[in-house]
Amino acid sequence: MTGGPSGPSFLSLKDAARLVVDGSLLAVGGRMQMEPVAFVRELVRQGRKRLRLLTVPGGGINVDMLVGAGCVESVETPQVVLNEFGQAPNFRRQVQKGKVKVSEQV
Amino acid sequence: MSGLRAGAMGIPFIPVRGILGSDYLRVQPRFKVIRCPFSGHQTVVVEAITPDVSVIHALKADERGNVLIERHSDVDLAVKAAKKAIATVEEVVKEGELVGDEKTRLISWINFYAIVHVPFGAHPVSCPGYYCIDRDHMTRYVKMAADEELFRTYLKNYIYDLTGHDDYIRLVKQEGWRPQYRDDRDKHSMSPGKGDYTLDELIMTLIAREVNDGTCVAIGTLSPVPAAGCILASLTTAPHVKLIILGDPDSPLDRGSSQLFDMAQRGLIDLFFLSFVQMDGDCNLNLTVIGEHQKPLIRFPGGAGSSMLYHMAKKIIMFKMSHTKRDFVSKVDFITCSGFNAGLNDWQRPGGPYKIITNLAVMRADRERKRVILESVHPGVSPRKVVENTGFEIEVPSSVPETEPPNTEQLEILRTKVREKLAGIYREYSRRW
Repeated sequence: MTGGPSGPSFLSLKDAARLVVDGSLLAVGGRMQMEPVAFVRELVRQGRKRLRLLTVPGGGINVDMLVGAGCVESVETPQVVLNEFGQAPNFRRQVQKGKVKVSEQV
Repeated sequence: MSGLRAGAMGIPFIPVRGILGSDYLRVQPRFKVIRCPFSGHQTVVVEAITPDVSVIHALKADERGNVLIERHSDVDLAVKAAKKAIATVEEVVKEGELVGDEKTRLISWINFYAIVHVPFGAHPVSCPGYYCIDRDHMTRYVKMAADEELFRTYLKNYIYDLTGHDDYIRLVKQEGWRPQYRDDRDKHSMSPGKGDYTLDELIMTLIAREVNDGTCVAIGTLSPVPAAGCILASLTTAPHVKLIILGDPDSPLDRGSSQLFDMAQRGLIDLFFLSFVQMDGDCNLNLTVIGEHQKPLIRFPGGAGSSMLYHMAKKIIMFKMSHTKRDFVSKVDFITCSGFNAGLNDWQRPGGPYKIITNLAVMRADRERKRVILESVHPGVSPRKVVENTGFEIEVPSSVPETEPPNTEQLEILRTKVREKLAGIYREYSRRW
C-alpha cells in the first residue's frame, strides 16, 4: 500500500533499497528485460544478507547477481535463466554447492 | 505467480490444475493436494505469498505515483501482493501527462509505497522504447560470473568501487554503451541463401505440419525452433492459427505467461511445446536437476509452469536436439512433468504428451497404450540407431518411414519471412541461423 497519506513517496535509490531489510521476502520483477537491476546493485552495495527471493515471472540477471554477491538464502521461481546468454552461472554454482535453496513455483 | 495471485486476493491458497504426480509435491512445501469440494477430484493448491517488498522496473511514473508498465508484463501481481511495492522508473512526468499506448498499461498509485526515478535502471538488460540489452556487457558478465574469483572482480568494478548508479552509468558509457532502442527486425536484410536444409530447418517444417488451421498454439520461452515452425505454418498451411509466442513484442495477450497459464487451464491451448533434460518411457519429463534436488549435481533453469501445461494443453510436442541415453533414460532423476503412470483421470489431465521430435527421429506418445512408438527416422538415420540411443524400450513398427524433408518453398519462406519475424523475438538465434 501507499507510503504517505497522499500516495507513494519519491525516494532516492539508496533510501528505497533500505526498505529491504536482511532476511526479507523480496519479489523482483522482469526477466532479461525490465529488471530493476540498478536497485539490485544498490542492495549488493549495501551488503544485504539472507534475502528470500521470489521472481516474477522468472529470474534473470537480478537473481544471478544477488546470489553471486552472497545476498541470498533461497529462491522461489518458475525458472532462472539468462535467455540467449544461457544458464545463470552464479545461481547454478551456488545451488549445486547447496548454499542456496530453490523451490520451483508455478 | 499462483501464490502471488492468492496473496493479492487476500485468500490463503489457490487451486492450480496439473502438477499431480510430479516431484514438486515432495519438495515444495507451498504445494498441497486436496479434494476439490465441487468436482470431488484430487487437485493441487498453492499457498498464498505476500512479499515483504516487491520491486519492479517500469517505463514512467507521474508525480502522483501512477506507473506505466508494459502490457505483456505480469509484474502487477507482485505489486498487488506485496506489503510494500517499489517501482524504479525511467521517467517521471507531470500528473495528467502519463500517456501510454497499446503496448502499455497503468498501475494506480494506490498500489505503491515508493517510486524511484532511475534512468537506465534496467541496464544491462533492455527497457523497450528506451534501450536494448547491452550485449557486450552481458557477454562480459556471463564470462566473469562463470568463475567465482572473476565475479568478485566484476562486483568490485561495477558495484563496490562506485558510489552509486550515476557512477555506474558513467562507467558503462565510457566502455562504449550507447542507450538507444531499435527494432531488430528492421536491421538485417534476410536473403533466402542457398544450400541444403539444416537439422533445425527440418524440425521447423515437421512442427509446421502439426499446426492445424484455426487452432490456438502457444510457444514458451527458450523455444526458437518451435516458434519458427509455427510462424512457417501461419504463413502457409494455417493462416487462421492463433499464435501466442511468449516474448513476442506483438503477442496478442493482454498479460504475459500468467494469461497463457489461465488459457491452458481453461482448455483453450490446443498445442504447446516443451524441451527437457531427461525423459523416460512413461513420458515423465525432468527440467529441474540431475542428482538430488536440494544439492544437485547439475541445476537447470527450472520447469516454468510446464508441470501444469503438460497436463492442460491438449497436445504437447517435445523437442530435443540431442538423442542419447543421457537424454532418454529409464527413469528421470526428478519428475517436473508427470507422464502416463501418474494415475490421473481425464478431469485431472485432459491433455498431455503427443509427439517427440529429436535430431534422429519423430516418436509418438500413445496415451491409450502408454507407449512411445517410433514414427519416422530422419534421412540417413536407421531405426536401430534410434533404439540404441534410447534408454527405455521404444516400440518399433515393422516398417518405419523416412521423415519427409523440407521442400524448396518451405526453405525459402523459413529463410526470409520466418527468420525476419523471429529476429524480433530471438535475435541471437536469427543471426546464427
